Amino acid sequence: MSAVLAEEKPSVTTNFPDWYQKLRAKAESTYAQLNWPTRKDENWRFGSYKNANLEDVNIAHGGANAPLPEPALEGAVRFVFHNNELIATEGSLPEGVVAGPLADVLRDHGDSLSQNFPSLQGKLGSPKLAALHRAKCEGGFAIQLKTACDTPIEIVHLISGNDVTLPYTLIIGADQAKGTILERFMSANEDDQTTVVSVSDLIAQDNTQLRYLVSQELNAKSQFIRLADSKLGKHSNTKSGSVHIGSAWAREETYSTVNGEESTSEILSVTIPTTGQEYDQRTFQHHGAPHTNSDLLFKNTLFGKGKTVFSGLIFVDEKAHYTDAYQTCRNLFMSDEAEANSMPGLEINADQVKCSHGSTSARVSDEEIYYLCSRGIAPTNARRIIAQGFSADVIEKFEDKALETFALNRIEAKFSAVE
Amino acid sequence: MSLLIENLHANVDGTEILKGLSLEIPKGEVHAIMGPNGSGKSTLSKVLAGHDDYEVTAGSATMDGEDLFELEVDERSRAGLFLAFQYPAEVPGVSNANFLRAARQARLPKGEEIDAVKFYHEMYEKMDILEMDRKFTARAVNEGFSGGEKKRNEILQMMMLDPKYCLLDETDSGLDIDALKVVAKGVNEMRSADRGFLVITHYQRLLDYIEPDHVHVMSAGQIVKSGDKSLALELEANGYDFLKEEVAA
Repeated sequence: MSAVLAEEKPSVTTNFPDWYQKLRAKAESTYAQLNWPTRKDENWRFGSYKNANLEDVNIAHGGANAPLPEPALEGAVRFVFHNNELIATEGSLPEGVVAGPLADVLRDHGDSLSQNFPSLQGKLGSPKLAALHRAKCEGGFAIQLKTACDTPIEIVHLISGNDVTLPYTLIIGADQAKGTILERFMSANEDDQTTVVSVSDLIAQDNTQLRYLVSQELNAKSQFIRLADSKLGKHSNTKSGSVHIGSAWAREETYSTVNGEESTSEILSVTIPTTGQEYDQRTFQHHGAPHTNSDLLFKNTLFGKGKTVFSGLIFVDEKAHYTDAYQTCRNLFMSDEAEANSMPGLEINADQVKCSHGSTSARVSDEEIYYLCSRGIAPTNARRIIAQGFSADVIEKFEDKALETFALNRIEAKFSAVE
Repeated sequence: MSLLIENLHANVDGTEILKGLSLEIPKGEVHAIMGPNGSGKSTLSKVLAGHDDYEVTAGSATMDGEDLFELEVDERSRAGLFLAFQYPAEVPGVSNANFLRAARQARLPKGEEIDAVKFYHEMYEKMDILEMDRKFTARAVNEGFSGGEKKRNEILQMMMLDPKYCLLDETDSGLDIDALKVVAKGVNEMRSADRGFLVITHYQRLLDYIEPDHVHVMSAGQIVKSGDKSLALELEANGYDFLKEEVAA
């Protein structure tokens, strides 16, 4: 942890424009009407639905200054939040990029958004949480990329205390935009029992290329919920995904909509649960136009009594002919006591589509271990190297050296900690 | 100083494959083993390198006096034994460079870190000898490699790990003549007074490029005939039938 703090602490603003305040008020009433998840809820099958009940919780906003973690990406513009309050900015934004507190961005650059601001999320099991989030989130962060941006953007959320934190991230890539965004969730203290409910909207308009990686590194007592929507226009490519190595329990609902021709949404994930950790991921790949592509690859490496749940659906609309959509969830067992539940799914309503979905579960191959051992590598190290390679395969799909280096380091640290 | 195998018996799934095999490979020599299918050639290499599927029931194998069968697979490698596999495993997601680094790191005392610059320099040097593209360092170990690429990769590993004794299990299988020459070049680079080789092959062709000091014929789990390199030519011309007759007589 470096001791560098921002020279000037930017103030929190909840000065949202009127149109957004109305959305928040509407969300408040939606929240009141909805119910918390129950055992009977299909979207919560195999999942710990009780963890998502946040009735009568305190919402945290801001906290005492905390030491900043070392930057993850060299040369990045960095925004650091503590309990959803911006506490530091580092680096300067290139021309054509707007980034800052949501309220500021909506006030100064949000005219076009007032009519088509992303609708409430939660279609994969958590509509009440989505409503709670919009109604109660006082902060939020927005990035508008209007051009190709070579400077990566790093967002760090430091979380402390025992309350609920509600970070929001809006990323908009305008026509011809390119960009790389890393978002990290980290605990400021090892003993806090925090709950983080994070919502993100990724909007890739026409001809954009966006990479967006979320790294969840919270302490082992935390809970983490993430609702992540993405929408793609024409001729765009997004590579979005997450690495989960922290928290006791994490739930991630990823909803990808490809509505523009010749666009591709790649959805990637690596999780490494061990005893006391459960990662529950629900995904939806929605194809709303012809000639659209999506490719989901999730890999879970399970140690000890670690648990994962994966439920995914590829949904091809009637008009979305010539769709190519793939969905793969692979589980690698490093222990006999781990538990992986996979529910891949497919619903095709169009013609001329190429779709596949599947899930596999396996132990580390004896043949691979033997091969490494035959080169002098001790068996425990061989297992670790193979398991790291299993995860690295996903990370390499981002095709971004800096993101790759960062993610592989985090993964390596997790492997070192569990074995 | 030698790799000494004495009266070795070994089973696979309860069936005896090696039936009292004895062989000594002194440092500085290249020995070739030829023999018909099923004679136990590959079993010999796996037993020496160590593999759970193979059970040693009698006999011994020592490397410069050290009992091989007292060592685990990884320990045998670190002690200086190298097996170039006939069918090397693919390891998805693990780059060649990282794999080799880990193998080299495993040979260093605890706490000592590999010198990355020196390592890459050395690796590139060896790759040049084997005419391997630099891109191979970033590719996952053997994944999607052609037969020839896999064999070159085995020789690269052998060169980087600097073993005392090298076992080459049908390294020539699946190689075209150009690839064979390159692989042989790598092996010949490594020939020295400090290293012994056991080359297992079906065909005399490989021995045109890796010239052996001794040739042995294996049949039914034993060495049945030994000679100089002319024995390989004899086998090429006459096949194994005449040997069977000789053994019977």
